[in-house]
Amino acid sequence: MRNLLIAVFVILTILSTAHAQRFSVSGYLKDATSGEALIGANVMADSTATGTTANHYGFYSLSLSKGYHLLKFSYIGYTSQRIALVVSRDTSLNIMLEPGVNMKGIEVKADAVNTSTQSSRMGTVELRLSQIKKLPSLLGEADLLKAVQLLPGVQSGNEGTSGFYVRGGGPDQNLILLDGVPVYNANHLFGFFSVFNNDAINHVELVKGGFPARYGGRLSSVLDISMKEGNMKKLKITGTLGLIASKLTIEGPIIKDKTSFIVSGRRTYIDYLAQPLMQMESRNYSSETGYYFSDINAKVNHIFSTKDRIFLSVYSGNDKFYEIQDTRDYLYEGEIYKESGQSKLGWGNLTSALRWTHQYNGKLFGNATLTYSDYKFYVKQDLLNFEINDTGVIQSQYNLDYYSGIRDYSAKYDLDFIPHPDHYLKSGISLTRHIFKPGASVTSSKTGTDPTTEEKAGTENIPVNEVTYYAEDDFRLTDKLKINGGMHFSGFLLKEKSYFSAEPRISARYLLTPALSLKASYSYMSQYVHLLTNSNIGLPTDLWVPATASVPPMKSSQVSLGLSLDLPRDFQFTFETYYKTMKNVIEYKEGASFMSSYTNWESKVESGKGWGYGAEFFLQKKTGDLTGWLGYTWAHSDRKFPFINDGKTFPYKFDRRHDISFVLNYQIDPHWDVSLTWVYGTGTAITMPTVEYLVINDLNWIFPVQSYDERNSYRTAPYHRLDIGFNNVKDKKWGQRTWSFGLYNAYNRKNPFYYQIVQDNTGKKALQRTALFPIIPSVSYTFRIGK
Amino acid sequence: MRITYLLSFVMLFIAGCSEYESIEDFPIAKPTLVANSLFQADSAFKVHVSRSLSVLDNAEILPITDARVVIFKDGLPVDTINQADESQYYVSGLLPDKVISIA
Repeated sequence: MRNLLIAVFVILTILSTAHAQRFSVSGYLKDATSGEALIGANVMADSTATGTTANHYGFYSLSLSKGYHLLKFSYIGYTSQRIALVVSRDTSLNIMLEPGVNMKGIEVKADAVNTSTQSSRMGTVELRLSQIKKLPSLLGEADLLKAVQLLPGVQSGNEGTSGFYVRGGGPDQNLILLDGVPVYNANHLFGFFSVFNNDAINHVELVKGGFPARYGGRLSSVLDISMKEGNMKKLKITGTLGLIASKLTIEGPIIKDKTSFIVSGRRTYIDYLAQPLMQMESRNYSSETGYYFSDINAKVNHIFSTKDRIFLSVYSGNDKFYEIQDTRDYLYEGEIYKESGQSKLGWGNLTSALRWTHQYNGKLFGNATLTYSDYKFYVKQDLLNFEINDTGVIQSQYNLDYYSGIRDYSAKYDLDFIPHPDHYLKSGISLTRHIFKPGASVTSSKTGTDPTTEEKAGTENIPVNEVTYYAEDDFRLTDKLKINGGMHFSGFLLKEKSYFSAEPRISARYLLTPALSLKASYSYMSQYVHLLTNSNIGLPTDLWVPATASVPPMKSSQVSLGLSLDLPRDFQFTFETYYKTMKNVIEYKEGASFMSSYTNWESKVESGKGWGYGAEFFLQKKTGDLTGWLGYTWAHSDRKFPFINDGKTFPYKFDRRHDISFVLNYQIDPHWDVSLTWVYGTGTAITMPTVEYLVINDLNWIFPVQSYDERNSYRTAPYHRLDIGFNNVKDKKWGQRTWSFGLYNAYNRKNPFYYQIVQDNTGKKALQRTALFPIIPSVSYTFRIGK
Repeated sequence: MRITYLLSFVMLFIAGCSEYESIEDFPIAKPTLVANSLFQADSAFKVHVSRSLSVLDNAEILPITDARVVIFKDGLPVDTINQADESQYYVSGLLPDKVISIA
């Protein structure tokens, strides 16, 4: 590892020296009204036709020759700026871009430094929050992950849930990063909502293939989400009142242009709405039952100097079911009993990151990060019972505590080095201490004066160290050929065994014309964590477990080929094909259940292979009054295990041959906009019983049972759905308000949720399809205090 | 448990609506013979024979009472029963040599 570091820095030094006659122009690109970093904003030097993009902190650096240059700074949705500059020494230049006013006739667009056509990367899609917020959504809760599901190459899971499956991969193969910290369970309410509060998010990028070396740890995708930093200029309060949840965000400067904060909270009120129903049910005694989920995002950052900045970000989200039962009396066999108790079931994530960014000089930018994350699932039950009889009062109590989860402590250091316009190097190292808690329960009981009995079950905590190092360079070989190449190294150090992996990554683009490029990529990935799941929808009972000596890490290789084309009127078209192989993917063995899966889980799973291949078409328009995209995916995804399905290859559960997504937003006038999404997907693969026969049990009873055919051999009906939404925006003296109206499943399609064999009204056996969500209207009110 | 009621409320929005699907594409399994027997060391062989049906077949699964049941030992037939008794079992006079329990 040390040799590698030395080698990389020798190369960096050589590159830097070779171009010593150049000068750097560097600085930060920010929103002029809030001071937020404009991640991915473009910088173009007209004189040299070269450019760069701002990194996650808005930092950019261009190396230019001595002399006159005209620089153009641009970002989608912002008014571009041109600055003439005579470069004679290293220059620092911070740029504030004004958000563009999207009125009819005014196009606000970015220049093409890093458009898909110009970029060397593949399989990468950037989602704009402003667009996500306008999309119609279930119960009016605009959801980031549901917007991700609308992208080609991404399959949605079950109806209404926010789980996603990328290029034939499983739900555990997506690395979801919030400010660089992995989020292990991104779902609220069994997946109907994701944990991400759009009001606190600045930037979202999904990587499906052609992974740069900086990413690792999952096979199929990286969803990189950056939280807002907080308004550096003025206090701003935004809030939304929705049908089942409301949220409030406060952001502003603590010291203007130096220190800012943002706090955003969200809570559902399902428990309050359900209260009348609960009271009806429990009218005989006093009790309280409820469910809610809540989120808090908070971030504070301080600029120490032009070169140093520190960030502290925290996310905490919880789902909680609870039942509190006050004392109730009942009579049983002549004895009087008094009983009280409480039960809780919950899960939640806590992520936090402390980050220090330092600009060493105009070419070198570093950031050091300490992160902590904790995902937990728990069940708690306390019961207290009094038996009153002739002999007196006997008290008994029972307590149950079940806990599972995963806790990570991580330290990492990343460097961006831009020695020349033709090179953008990144390198970094990280050390993570995982503590897997695959499930443990403690039950205790005590009756009368007897001593307390305590029983422990489950698995001990499993501590594991993971270390990674990467180096990558995004370099231009010729005017036409640009390559992003690198290596990602990782080690997973278990007590009984250590795994190491060297993962080459490369992606390249070749410009056939200035508007058309040909692309290719290869990625080798390793994943050291597995998700034990029967549901595949992100239930809290799913367990994260480490690779072990007998269950090795998952590996994948993916090759992609494609092209990208810039079309007139700001349309952009991309086409990508991919072929992905996966090994050591796990499944429960035939007949194995997720119940008690925390005990000896290794014996209940089987390792096998997986394949995914397909083609994706993506036509999008990001600017103007009419924005949106049309995506089409043709895909195959299969699995093969030695002892599942008689060793024969079978389709993956979310194998879906054709997928179409159509997303449209139209700004009718400055006050009204309309959005619609339409999705169509051919059926997914499920396993159905096909045969019924008689069996005898050991009591000699004869009864019928059903037998299942080959795994996932039946296809469900196609899924399609139209959602429509309207937003009405009006400026007020105090700020701005928005009314949002939506219709989910506008033509009331009964999409398949599950199938079963039933008897119909005439008594005949029939195949019944049950749908989940009918047409659902929604309304929400959003306010923003402060201009 | 009242959590069930709460979930019911949550699922208010999940006003699960069902409809019957065309069974045109549903795999229709051909009937096959199914023989069931429990071996007990101190009991004679008792075999129950029936025919499997497609899960969508509306007919009742009935035992087959006029099958020919042949019992083999070391690959050689040792007994043949041609008719089920009143309890719909084919009963042989033979006892198993040894019964091995498989958990």
